[in-house]
Amino acid sequence: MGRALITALVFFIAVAGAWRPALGRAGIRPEPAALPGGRYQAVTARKEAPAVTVAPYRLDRQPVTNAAFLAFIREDSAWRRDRVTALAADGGYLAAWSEPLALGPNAAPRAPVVGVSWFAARAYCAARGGRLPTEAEWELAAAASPRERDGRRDPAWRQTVLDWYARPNPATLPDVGRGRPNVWGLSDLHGLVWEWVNDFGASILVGDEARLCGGGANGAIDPLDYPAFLRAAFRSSLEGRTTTPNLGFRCAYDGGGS
Amino acid sequence: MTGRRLPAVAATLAMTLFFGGRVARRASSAVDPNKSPVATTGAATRGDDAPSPLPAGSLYDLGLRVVGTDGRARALDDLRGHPVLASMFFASCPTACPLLINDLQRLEAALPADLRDQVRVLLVSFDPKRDSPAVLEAVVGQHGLDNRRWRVAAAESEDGARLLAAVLGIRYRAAAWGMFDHTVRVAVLDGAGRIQARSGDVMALAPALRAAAATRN
Repeated sequence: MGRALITALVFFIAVAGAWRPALGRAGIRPEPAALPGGRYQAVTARKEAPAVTVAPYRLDRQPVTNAAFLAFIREDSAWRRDRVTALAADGGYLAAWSEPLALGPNAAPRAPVVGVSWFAARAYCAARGGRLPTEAEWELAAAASPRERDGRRDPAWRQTVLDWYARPNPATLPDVGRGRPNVWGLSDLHGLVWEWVNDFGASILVGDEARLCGGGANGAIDPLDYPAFLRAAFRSSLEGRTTTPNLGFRCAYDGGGS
Repeated sequence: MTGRRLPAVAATLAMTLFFGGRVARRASSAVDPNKSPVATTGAATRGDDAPSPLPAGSLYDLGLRVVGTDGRARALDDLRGHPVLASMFFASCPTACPLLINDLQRLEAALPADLRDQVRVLLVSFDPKRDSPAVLEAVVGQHGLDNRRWRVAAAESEDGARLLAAVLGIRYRAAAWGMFDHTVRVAVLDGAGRIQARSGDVMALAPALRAAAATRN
C-alpha cells in the first residue's frame, strides 16, 4: 500500500517534471528543445541523392500561437493583414482573426497561428533570433514518437500519425501543447497543423512541372513512410505567399544550446 | 527610409492608375497589383529597425546580395529603373539552363532596339558553392552574353538563394553528382523591382516586359 503510494508519487513527479518545460510559465516562453541532428534523406529524393547531415539545433516545443504572432505584428505593423503586400502573403493571410490587431472568437490566443505565409513566418522567427527549420530538421524532429527517437517503424505510432491526416480540420483549432510530447519534448508536430519549413521549395514531385532539369523517375527511399510523402506533396504545392487555414509554423535556432 | 521608398510608392500608384492591373492579369500566375498600394502605406508606420522583407513588394528591398563575375558581392539596386527579366539557374546544368538562356536571348532579339537597350537580364545561380566568378564568366563567354545588359551571378548564401527562389516562384533541390532538380521560370520586374509577371514560357513575357518598360522607376 505504502509502496504503491510512493510509486505513484514518484511517477507523478516524473511526469510533472517532463511536462513543466512544455507548459512553460505564464508570460515566459519555454526554452526550445535541443536536438542532436543526424542524417536525413527526403522520402521523395532519388535513390542516388546524397543524404543531408544535420548539425545540432534547437526547435520550439510548440507551434507559434496567435497571441505570440499578434505581439510580433504590434512590433512590426508591415505584417498587419491590411498592410501586407500581395507578394508577401495571399488573401487568406490571418483570415481567422476578427481584426488586423484582434484575434476574435475564431482564433484563441493559445491556438496555433495559421494563415501565415512563408515570408511572414520567416520574419517572425528572425525577430525572435531564430529561423524556420529546414525540412531535414523538421522531419528528423517529427520522426520521434513519445518513446523513440525514430518511431516510424512502430506501426501503432504510424497509425496515430496517419489518423490525423484522415481527420477533417476542426472549425476552430485547439490550443497548442495538448498533444503528447515526443522524446525531445516537442508537441504538436503531428495532429494539430501543418508547418512551414525554410526549404519548402525543395519539394518537387516529378510530373509537377513540364521542364525539370534532370527529370527521371523518383526512387523512393521508404515508401512505407506515407505521412512523409503527404507532407512532401503538400510542400510541393506551396508558394512563399501561400496561406492556408491549417498551415502554421515553429522556429528553429542554430546550435544545440545548453 | 521614406525617401527611398517614394519611387516604389509612385510606381505602384502609376501602375494601378495607368494599367488598372491589366498587365498582370493577362500574364500567367501574376501577382495581383490591386492589393499592393494598400501595403505601401504600412511602410510609413512600422518601426525603423523591425525586420520586414517586401515592405513595398520590391525585390530590391530584400537585402539580397549576389556575387558576380567580378567576384564582388553586390546588392541588386543598380537594376532599379530598368525592366528586368529575372531567373535562376546553375552553371553545370546540362539541358534546361542552356535552353533557358537561349529563350532569353530569343526574347531579347525579338524586342525593338530601344526597349532592348533598357532591359536587363538577371540570372542568379542557386549553386553558390560551385558557381565561382570564373565559372560564371565561362557561362557568359560560352553564350556570348553582353555584360552591360546581362547580370550573371550566384546568390551570396544558400538562404539568399531560397529567398530569391520563393519570390520568383522557382523550386530546386540538390540531386546526385552536383546536379539540381529545378523548375524553370522567368519573372518580369518593373523599374521598382516589383514582379509584374512570371512564366515558364519566356516568349510569353514580351507584353509584360513592354508594359514594365513604360513605367520607369
